[in-house]
Amino acid sequence: MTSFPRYRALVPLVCLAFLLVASPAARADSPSSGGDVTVAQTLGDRELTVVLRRVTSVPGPLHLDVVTHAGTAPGRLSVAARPGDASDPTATATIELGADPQAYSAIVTVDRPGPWELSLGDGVRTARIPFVVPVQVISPPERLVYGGFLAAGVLLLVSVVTATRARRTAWALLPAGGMLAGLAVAVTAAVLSASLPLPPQPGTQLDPTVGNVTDPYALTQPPTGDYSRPPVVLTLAGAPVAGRAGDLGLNLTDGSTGLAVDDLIVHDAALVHLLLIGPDGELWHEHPIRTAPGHYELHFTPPAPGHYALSAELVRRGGGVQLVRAAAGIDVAGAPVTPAVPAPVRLGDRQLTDTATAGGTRVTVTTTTPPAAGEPTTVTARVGDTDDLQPWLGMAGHLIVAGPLPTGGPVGAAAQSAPVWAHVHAMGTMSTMDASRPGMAGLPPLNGDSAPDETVAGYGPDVPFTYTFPVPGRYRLWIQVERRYAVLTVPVVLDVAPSAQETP
Amino acid sequence: MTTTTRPPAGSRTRRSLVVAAIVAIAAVVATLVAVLWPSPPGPAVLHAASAHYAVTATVQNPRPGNTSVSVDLTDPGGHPVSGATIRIEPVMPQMGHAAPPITAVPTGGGGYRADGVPLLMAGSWQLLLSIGSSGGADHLTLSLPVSG
Repeated sequence: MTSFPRYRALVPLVCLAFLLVASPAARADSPSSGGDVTVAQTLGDRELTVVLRRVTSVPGPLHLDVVTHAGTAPGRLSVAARPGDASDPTATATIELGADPQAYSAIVTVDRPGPWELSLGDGVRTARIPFVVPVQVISPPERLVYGGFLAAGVLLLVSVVTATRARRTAWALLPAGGMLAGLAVAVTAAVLSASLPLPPQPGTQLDPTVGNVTDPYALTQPPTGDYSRPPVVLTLAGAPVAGRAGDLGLNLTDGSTGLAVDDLIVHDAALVHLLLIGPDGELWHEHPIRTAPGHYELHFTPPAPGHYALSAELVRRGGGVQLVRAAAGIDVAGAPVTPAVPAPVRLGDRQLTDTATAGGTRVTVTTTTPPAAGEPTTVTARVGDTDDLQPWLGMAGHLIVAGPLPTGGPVGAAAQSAPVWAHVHAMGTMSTMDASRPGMAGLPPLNGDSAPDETVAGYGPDVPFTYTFPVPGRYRLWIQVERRYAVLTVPVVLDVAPSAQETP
Repeated sequence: MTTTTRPPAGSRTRRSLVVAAIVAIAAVVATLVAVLWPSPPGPAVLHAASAHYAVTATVQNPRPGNTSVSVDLTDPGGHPVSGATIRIEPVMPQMGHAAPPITAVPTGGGGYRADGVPLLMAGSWQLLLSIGSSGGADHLTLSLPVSG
């Protein structure tokens, strides 16, 4: 007992240190703070990639990057951000696009969380991109961790004071027991919180509102595991004429209610991926702009008259990719012309490799084995000689498949009734998954990181696609990669042999 | 033979201390129960705006069943809009439910009210408002969580 006063001076210091360690941190590590959102937009004649960088504080800045491509006309874009509960934009900016393909930036201020709409206008058309401004949220387990440690810290202090001051030292057991309970609660919450499911996510699963963005943990409706919505019905509007620029309208309606579908979420870096196959075997892979709820528009100049087959790839809120084929396609009027279409690469049973030139770049397309129905077939494109491909729509390469088609005749009309349409992605080869270049590995981003955008040229030169052709026949394939800010499209004609094995 | 001993003075104080502790704990428990007891959701207040209108809708009973919906309609400047036609259609996109639209009755001062708006089940609902007035026609969508 004689030595006790010496240690008594240390007690407040120890308690203070404990409180500092155990007190709630000022910042919260929330999983739902979101990453960058990339949206490809075919605005007029410009193919743009709009990147909405992660919003880290509200109110705060929203950094926008608009990536242009080779051939994009210079000019001025007007940018406006409007919250869902306001009639007028609360922030505007302009972006001066230069002649060089690169990222052009702007900053708009977002002053509240919840659903927003970003307008991007070129003076003639306005693209309206819905987005969600998230807010950092502390989850209930985090609150328990902070509260438990805080209680433990305070009760440690109380128990020390009780032990030294009270006539009976045993009274100190009460706050000490409370401290242990606080520690147990905090540690349990910390350990278990990692495996708890996230609440329904506003934007991707629920219609975003200010309420569910600011408090996603509020249980406002019965929990469910299935947020999917009915399929989309696609109708077209417009009468395109060959050689004349026009706007093709796309109306999306709900398969169950017939109402306008205005809940598309960004999938593979676009709201809608529109695939158009022309009469002479051309492919357009465009990204129509949203001009009104449920209404999208594509500015398009058909080069030749004839029938164009059309499909749209999209995702409604709640998930599930849909490939919606326009039932009738579009018929383009006009005087007959023969556009200059590059000759396709031809591959089949006897020819496993062929070479073409796309946009001044030499492309060699190879299949490893003679393509056969029901067998995985790998089609590899070697684009140029070095690894300078850029990710387009988040992928090293895209392969569009339509078939089987008859050997002659207009391709658009044949593709209209072709049983198979497919969209295959290439993530790159294992050689590009190099640990010395983190972020370029072609792997999906972790921990809320965002994937490298188009300004990173580090993929290729080999871009492999593996696809199992379900039925034999002649297929049209289009390989798409981005190099030097230009999207290269390599048409391929591929003959798929009947399956070697007996079909059951 | 029995001997009775007077309880020591400290024992009475200790007993009163124990009673006080029990009362304090009971008070804390009662407060916690009162705070944490689940209460039925109150009216849901929803906001949305379009180029022509701003809307504040109050859903009286956001639970499965019929509910009344009051709508305050203003122009973008915040001035009340009277004499408009408002139709309210409840839709549940996940299930593909749509109910016949109900025309709201004006209550004066830019206020409108629709009774008997059917919410068939719990989940994420939308109220589609079709608004027509001299200021223009517009459609607005309000998100409404309906709890079970």
